[in-house]
Amino acid sequence: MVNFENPEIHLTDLPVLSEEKFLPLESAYLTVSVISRLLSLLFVFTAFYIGMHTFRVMPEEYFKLLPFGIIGFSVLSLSLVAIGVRFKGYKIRAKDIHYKRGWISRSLTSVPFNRIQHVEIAQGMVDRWMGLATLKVYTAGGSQSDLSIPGLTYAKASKLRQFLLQKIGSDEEE
Amino acid sequence: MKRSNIPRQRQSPLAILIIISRILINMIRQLGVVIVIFLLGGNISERLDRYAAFGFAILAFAVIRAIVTYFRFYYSVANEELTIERGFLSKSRTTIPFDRIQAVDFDQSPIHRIFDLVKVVINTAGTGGDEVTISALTRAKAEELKQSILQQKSTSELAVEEADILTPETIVKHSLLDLVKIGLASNHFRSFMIIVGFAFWIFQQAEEAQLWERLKALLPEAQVMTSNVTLMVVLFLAVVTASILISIIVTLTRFYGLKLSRIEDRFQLSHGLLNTRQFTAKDQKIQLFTTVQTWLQKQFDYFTISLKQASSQMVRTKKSLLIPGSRRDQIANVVAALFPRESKTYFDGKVSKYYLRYHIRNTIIIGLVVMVPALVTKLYPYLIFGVLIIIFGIVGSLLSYRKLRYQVGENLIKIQGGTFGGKLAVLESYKVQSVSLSANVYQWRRKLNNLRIHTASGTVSIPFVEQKKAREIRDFLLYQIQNTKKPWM
Repeated sequence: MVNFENPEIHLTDLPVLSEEKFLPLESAYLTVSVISRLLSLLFVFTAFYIGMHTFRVMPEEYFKLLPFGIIGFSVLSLSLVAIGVRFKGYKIRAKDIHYKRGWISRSLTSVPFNRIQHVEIAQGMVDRWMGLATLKVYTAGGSQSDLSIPGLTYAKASKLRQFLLQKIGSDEEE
Repeated sequence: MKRSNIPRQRQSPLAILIIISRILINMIRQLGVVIVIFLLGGNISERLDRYAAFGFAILAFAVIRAIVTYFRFYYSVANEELTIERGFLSKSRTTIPFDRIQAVDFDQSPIHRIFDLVKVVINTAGTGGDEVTISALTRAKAEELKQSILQQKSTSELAVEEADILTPETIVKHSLLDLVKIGLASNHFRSFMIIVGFAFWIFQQAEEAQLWERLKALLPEAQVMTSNVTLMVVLFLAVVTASILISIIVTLTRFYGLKLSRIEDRFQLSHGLLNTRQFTAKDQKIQLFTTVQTWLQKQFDYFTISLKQASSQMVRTKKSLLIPGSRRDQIANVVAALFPRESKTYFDGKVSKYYLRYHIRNTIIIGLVVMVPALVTKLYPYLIFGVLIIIFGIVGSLLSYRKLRYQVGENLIKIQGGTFGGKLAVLESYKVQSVSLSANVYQWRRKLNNLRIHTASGTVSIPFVEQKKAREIRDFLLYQIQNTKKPWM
């Protein structure tokens, strides 16, 4: 029978995750996210406008106002993205990794190293122009529990990936 | 302990029959519409010929494919690995180490049952292909394979002493009467919607066929008018009765002969009238234990237990064992078997009172929005819908607020909830994968968080926890996970 070591835990002694001093993302990430959003807005609204123009479902007087609506919506959406960037950040401790985001609705996800399944680096088109990358950390808990940190330089992302892989490896050897 | 290797071999020859039936069913499913279009049209004598030719072609195709599939399929067990070879044009050889195998389930269709064959479904963990099936083995061969996998697994993991005769201990067993009651207590709304959908379809067909005009011509008009109200009532009662009947029939066919038993460190569940299924779940693989009770089930004092197993993708019903109609003492038995260690409770609390305020506020807003059209159009009787939403919402918020409760202990996390019925989720804290705290505007302005606990078979969440407490629980769980050597799976 294995001898269980089972000391009592004192809640006050537990390591506390401070919500301050999260590392910010690269400043170029602001440009990246604004450009990406701009591109997707452009794509969606061009299609929408052409559709509306061809099929004429909207009454003429409303259709004239449509460009203003589109511009207004886009400005709002872009400014939300720009503000959102400032609320994103990550933190790495000895045994876990954390990512927080969100201005209007906020969230902070924590993944212990010994629950990481695999680590991946993803680079979108705009990311590549600016030399940025997204680090994706997968657990067995499905998409909700996965963690992905955007806006890292490619060098930093691969360094982090190496670090995490090494952590997972040493964990399994124990 | 003897090493139970299994030499490379084919399935039972009767597997050919099973494969033929599977191919035919698949073809009908995929090509259903095409077949119908092809078969209809032309005059009757032409059609008969076509039926024969078509049927023969399909059958010949299925037979040839089945025979090829059968002869190219081998399975074997050696060195704690299951190897499956298959394929004619593109051959494949799959090797699954036993520690990747989640569960070995048995399935029996009516054809299987005639010859006492078993379809073996092997669930594996992993992001890629998630299960391997062997279409048909004789029962003895299937048992041999299962024992071989499970025994070697337990020796490698737990070093259990060899027990030659394993006597399963029955925990839940449902008689026919039980099942009828479970059917009565099940969700009739689904059956109701099926009937309504069907009726709607029939109605449309009738419309197209101008059936109503013909009926009206047959019946005196006055009679139709007077019987309208009674007709509606009778029709409504008929639909309700029919939906209850359908629920009972569905429950009976799905859960016929339900038996949950326990052997060593695993649960075994079997049920089914037409297709008998047998599921196995090892304790270690079970990530989440939940019980659910709807309002109707509460009147019968029934619970539905589900034992959710790990899956790297989304949780699918297939990977959780469902045991409807369980009683309190049976739940206690399952819990006692699954979570033997008592644990000290560190956090025990209810959600913030803002939970109630937030939900009541939202209900009132929705209710008022619904009332707006009635006010604008001056159709005041329709205000009743808004009023009903508000009343229903407030009662619901109150009930769920009072039922929500969480306990986080040394080993276990328990979350209770429910609105008109009841819900319970229990999990071991070391099986947690990650934790997240989230808050919407309303919540973060009042220093509140939703605490989400992610496991490999789904997420449980505790809403409206005071931020300080939510953070403490998060820190505690992270500490627990990081300081355990126990594999979560």
